[in-house]
Amino acid sequence: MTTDDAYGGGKRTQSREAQASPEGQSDFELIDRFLAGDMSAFDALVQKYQQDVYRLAYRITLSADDAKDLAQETFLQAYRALKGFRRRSSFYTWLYRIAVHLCFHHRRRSARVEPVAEVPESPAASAQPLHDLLEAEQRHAVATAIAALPPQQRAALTLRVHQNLSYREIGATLQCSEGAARANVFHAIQKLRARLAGFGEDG
Amino acid sequence: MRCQRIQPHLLALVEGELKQSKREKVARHVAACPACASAMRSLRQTLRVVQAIDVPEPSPAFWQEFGTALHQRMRREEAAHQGRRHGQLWGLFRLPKPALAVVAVSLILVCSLPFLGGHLGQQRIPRMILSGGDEVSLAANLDFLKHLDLLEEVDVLEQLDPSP
Repeated sequence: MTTDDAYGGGKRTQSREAQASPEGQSDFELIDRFLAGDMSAFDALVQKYQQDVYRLAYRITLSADDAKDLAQETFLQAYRALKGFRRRSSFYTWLYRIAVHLCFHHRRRSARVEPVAEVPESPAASAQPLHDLLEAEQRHAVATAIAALPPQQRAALTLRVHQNLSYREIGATLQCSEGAARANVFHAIQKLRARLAGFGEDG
Repeated sequence: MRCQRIQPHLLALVEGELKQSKREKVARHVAACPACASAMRSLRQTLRVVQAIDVPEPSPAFWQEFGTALHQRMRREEAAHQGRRHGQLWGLFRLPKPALAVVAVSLILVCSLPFLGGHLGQQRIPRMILSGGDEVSLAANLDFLKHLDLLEEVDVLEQLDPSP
């Protein structure tokens, strides 16, 4: 199922698997090469997914340092476990599952107060300072509202909105049913709508 | 359709995931209902602003350092894995001392079985053949039997055999 209408991200979900590595090989072909002893194939997989995994970890942990460590740990776990990957799902679903599991585990272990996400600054000052100020305020409010979501809902939301996964893939990643994945996204958006009611109603 | 029944489907409508028949019903209601139309606008706006929040872009050196550190960890992992395989062979010698002693004694016993087996075998044969009183009789006539052996060796039994 495409998510084009809502998120404008293109059919990344369907085409991601077909996205070739720089050498023109699919994920499963790269895995076969790695299992045959070719380490460069694993490097190609890392190159292909490192940004996605880092961004996913960042959006769940809301910390750049934690996201970097957890992204590395994700690939290390994948390196250890790739031999046992049964290919019942796509490689990236499997990889995201590892990442999400590590992020949740990290969060439970650290047991600290959730930090407010670091919101990127706008690229440059424009001729509309008031507009920029409102935009910065809005971005901060959105980041704070997202940070306040329960981790499962935050993960489901980012897998849907930013990673463009189908609900079935989100269910596989979060190890819950498709319906539960749908409910997590729905509740996350409802909460955000309530918290951001004052912003951008002119939409 | 009532608004309460429509609103749970608004997200699916925005995402383009409703089946055609359902989509037409929901869209018709939204077009005629200001409350649901407002909810739909709010939903779209929320999704838009959530999507616009991006992750702070790491510095250019970040990914290079990321790859280097990952490779180092993978090499350590590989070395540890090989060490574990090697260690399985030598792991026997890292057993606790009592266990090691038991293993050593077992090995000695197993290695000496062929030698013990022959010796024990020789002793077992008479025990299997002889019973109770025969053993006592054998002990009493040991000297005689020794002589008998000697006589056999020098082949003089026939000389002792009384002639008819």
